[in-house]
Amino acid sequence: MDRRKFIKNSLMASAALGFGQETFATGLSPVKSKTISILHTNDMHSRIEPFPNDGGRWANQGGMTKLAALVSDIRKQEENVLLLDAGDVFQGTPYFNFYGGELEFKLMSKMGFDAATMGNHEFDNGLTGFYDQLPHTNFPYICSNYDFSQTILKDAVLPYRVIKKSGLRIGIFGLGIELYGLVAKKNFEATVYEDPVAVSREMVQELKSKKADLVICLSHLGYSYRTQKIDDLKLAAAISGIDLIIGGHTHTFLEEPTLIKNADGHQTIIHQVGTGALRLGKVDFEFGKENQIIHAKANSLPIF
Amino acid sequence: MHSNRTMAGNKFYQILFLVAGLFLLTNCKQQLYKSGSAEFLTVSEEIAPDPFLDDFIQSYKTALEVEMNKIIGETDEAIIKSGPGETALGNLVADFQKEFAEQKLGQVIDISIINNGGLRNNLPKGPITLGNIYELSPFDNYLHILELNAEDVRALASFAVNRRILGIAGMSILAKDGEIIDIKVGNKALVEEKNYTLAVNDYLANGGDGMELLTQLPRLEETNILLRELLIDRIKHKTDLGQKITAKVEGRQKLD
Repeated sequence: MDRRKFIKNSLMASAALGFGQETFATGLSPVKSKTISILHTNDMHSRIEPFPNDGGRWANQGGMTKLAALVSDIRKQEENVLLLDAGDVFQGTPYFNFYGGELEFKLMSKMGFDAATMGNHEFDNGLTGFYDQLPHTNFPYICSNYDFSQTILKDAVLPYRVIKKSGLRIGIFGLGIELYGLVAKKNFEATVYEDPVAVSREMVQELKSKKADLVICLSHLGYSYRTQKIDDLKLAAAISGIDLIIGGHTHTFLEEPTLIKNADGHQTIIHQVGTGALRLGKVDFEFGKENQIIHAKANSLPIF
Repeated sequence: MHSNRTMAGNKFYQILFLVAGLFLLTNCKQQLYKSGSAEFLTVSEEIAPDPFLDDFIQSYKTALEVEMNKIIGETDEAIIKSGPGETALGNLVADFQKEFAEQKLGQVIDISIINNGGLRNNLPKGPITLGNIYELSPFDNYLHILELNAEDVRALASFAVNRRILGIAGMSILAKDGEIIDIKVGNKALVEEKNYTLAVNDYLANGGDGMELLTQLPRLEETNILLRELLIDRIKHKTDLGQKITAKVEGRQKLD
């Protein structure tokens, strides 16, 4: 089957499977609804090309060059697309060891990434190693809970961003994992890790005050830990107002997005798509007249 | 009249606010509807790489391949990991780790260990390329130096005997039927009041491969030196001295 046709059919199938009750949406029935497709990756780990054809589990699958083909297909079908990454672009193939992230950033820029957050591996060549590669990006890095004020990254990384797209305001903030014990001190220097829950609370408030219609958190905290360590599940339960958490770090291949309803009744979608650009996440939001979210669907498109 | 109109006006606005409030509550509160079954799609056919990006990476790829094909050393015969316990490759890597830590960190290293499972490919007979080392050590494991007392050394030896997954330098173990008969560190018997240094990667130091016994030990150094880097460094060093790379199973772990 023609790939493009397949994707289209798949999307139709997922829509037909009926992401939930349409009753609410039908009741309001906006004359012309706005839609936005959030495409997302995480933990691409320098997988520039597909995994090698060595009989391994992922042979010939994944990789940024194939990802780009899929993204460009989707862009032909969807009017409003945001492409986001949840960290650990760096490290994993010799491409990183030899080019220090230059090629990863250039490919992401060509693919049209809109924003990314820093994973722990973005620190692998130290703050300077990351900083020196930033000129190869045409998209911002967003980290809300790393205080870089005493470091070279002071003005190089944003705390949040509101992206305007067809009259919608998409608020994006980013959460990084505790660096101590995970990243060598000399690689993060005077970076201060701040509590993700407290920072998220501030970010949601800030983004709401900037009239964000959709609040997205790019998280490199990890999907779930049995310990008290903060993860995406705990974050979603603790914070009201995040619509979508795009996760990373734990290389979790979610069979379907997780929906968390917190105490205030707010619902947060959590999605994470493994590693090595083996999958592209796609979460579609549909908005009514007041730009309120009336419908969300999500699925994983494997790339192979 | 005036006040009546105001009151009527207030009432009107109150109702208006109430209606508006209800509208806002029901309408503007963000609502998400979950899928009955968000699906997982399997695309069985090939996706061709994006031609423009594929073209763009070619110069990087070619330069990288040239780099990976560079010869950094030579073996007389293949150095392999063979079966459980002591292997030629495990000995070589444990030796290099010990040697590197001593020379570059200025530490006296008593014992060095490596998990056989972390060594992903053999060294071939003949030229060793940089690519060979990336295949041997694809993981990003960092060199850590821990401190052990005599009891910890015995626990480590016992782990080696029971699990048979370690390459070891600096320590020899004699065991029979799973019971340790003798442990020597630097060819000497254990000294009870002495502290010993252990070179190990961060994966094991943090309890990987079941090595929980290492997690609570004092850390002397937690470097960001990759195992791969230190192997490349040592191989280049031997080559500069005109030496070939050799290793064999020599009875460091006699675990009958």
